[in-house]
Amino acid sequence: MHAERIFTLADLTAFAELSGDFNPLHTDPVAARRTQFGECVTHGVFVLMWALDCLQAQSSSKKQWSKISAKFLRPVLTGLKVTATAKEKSASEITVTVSEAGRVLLQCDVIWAESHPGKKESGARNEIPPREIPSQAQIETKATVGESLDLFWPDKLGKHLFPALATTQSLDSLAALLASTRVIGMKVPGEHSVFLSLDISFTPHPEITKPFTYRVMEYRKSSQRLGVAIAGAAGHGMLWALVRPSPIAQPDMANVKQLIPPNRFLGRRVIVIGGSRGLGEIAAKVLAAGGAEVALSYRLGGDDAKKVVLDITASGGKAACFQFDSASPDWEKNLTAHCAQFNHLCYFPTPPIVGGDGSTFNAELFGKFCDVYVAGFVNVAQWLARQNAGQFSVFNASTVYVESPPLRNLEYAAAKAASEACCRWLAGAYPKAHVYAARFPRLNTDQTASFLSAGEHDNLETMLAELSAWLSA
Amino acid sequence: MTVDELLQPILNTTRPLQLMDSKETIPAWDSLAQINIVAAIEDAVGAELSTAEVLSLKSVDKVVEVARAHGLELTITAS
Repeated sequence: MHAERIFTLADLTAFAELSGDFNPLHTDPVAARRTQFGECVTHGVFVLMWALDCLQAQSSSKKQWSKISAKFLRPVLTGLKVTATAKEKSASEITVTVSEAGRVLLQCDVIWAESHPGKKESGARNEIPPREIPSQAQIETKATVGESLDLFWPDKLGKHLFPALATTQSLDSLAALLASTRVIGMKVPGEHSVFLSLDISFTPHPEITKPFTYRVMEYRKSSQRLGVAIAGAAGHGMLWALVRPSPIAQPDMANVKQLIPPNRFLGRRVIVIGGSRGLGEIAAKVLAAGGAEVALSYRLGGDDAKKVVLDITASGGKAACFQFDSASPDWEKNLTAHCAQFNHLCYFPTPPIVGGDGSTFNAELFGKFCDVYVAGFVNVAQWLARQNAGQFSVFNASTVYVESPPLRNLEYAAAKAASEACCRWLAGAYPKAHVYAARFPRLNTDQTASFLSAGEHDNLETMLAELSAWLSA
Repeated sequence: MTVDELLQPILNTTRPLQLMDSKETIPAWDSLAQINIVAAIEDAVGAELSTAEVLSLKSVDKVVEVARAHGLELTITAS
């Protein structure tokens, strides 16, 4: 078996309709950008069912599942070509692998049933599951008693997405697989979840009146993993999920103001590009707390930016926000409309900091970083120069990784090094300008968030030191 | 059980892993891979690792050490 596919956001939305798993990690690009993955991730069960559908279609097999054991090892991001292959372990067992550029993303062992019972009536409802809001409850408060869940198999959409499975597997089995992703993504852990693995044993003779139930069996706090038992007409099994850390919250103005004298940056008018979250958010707050007037931009996170502005203005500071995309043809007009009277620039925008493969240089990835860190930066800085007759001040957020690039982040570090070269060029090209490049250590932001550990430096103190160094020079 | 049997499916390595291999030498060894390594060890030994053990799993020698502490001997494949 060999099959290839590129999952799109439209595909993910269709699967969310089918399964009822509308976790924002899969369907909301704005929310997904604040997760550890930085963008929407395909439902693991979607990838699994697609691979199993290809297997069933290409082998023309009518075999039914007896057991499925799947591990969702790495995220399947949209827009990347993935490949599904299969290897027979024995007459009754096969291993299905989904990979991307040689990296295994999903591995699944399927054991086929010996008997092939005919089609039976299904207890799953032939309708789209109701759209719900994913649970945000803390894991300690999740019920450990069994909860029941209605099963759905919307026949038309199901046949459209998985035509081979729809004609070979029992509808209760398919509905149980769909329910597994709804349990993890919407119930337990719910919103802050990553589906890690499933083991489901299917019964050859489903009791269609038996309700589908799920129950939290185990919470392994040391690794933040949750084990959930499921049981129903089609069989029983165990699901494991990671309780994903929430998006990183930066200090609020009440905390920021305690550290900064109120007139430290008085009279400064600063554009903060990429100020809706992360380092840009902290910079905007530090500058505003010190008396500067701040115009902060966002690309996608309008609500996040408005919250930052509200926090600043509610504490007596001056701030406004505007939408800005350096790749937009209107970027210059947009800046002129919102920031005509400003002469300071803090530059923080970043694409998702995804890593390369660590063994080769990924020119395409390097190019994506350079579009923002180099071309976008120089364009905005030169616009500021034109607005202010060459007399302006720029703060560029670089990284200590330019000195010693981590194995997976060569392309990121190289693009940041290129942005530093642009800083030196700007300083030479505009003698009346002040250009400062700050090499930040790893701080706690959405972009650096790990599943297990946080950065070792204090975000606020580090930012205050760098901004003070910039504006006191 | 060998180190490769435990870790290769998670780390996508094409060569035998050595004791000195770590997050610094294996590109796929990120925090999600670390969680999957925890799951693989816990499945193999049938016990939950401590927080300190979970956080220490950033190199092959630590994986071997933690597995051994729970009664699982992992051997290195000859290169």
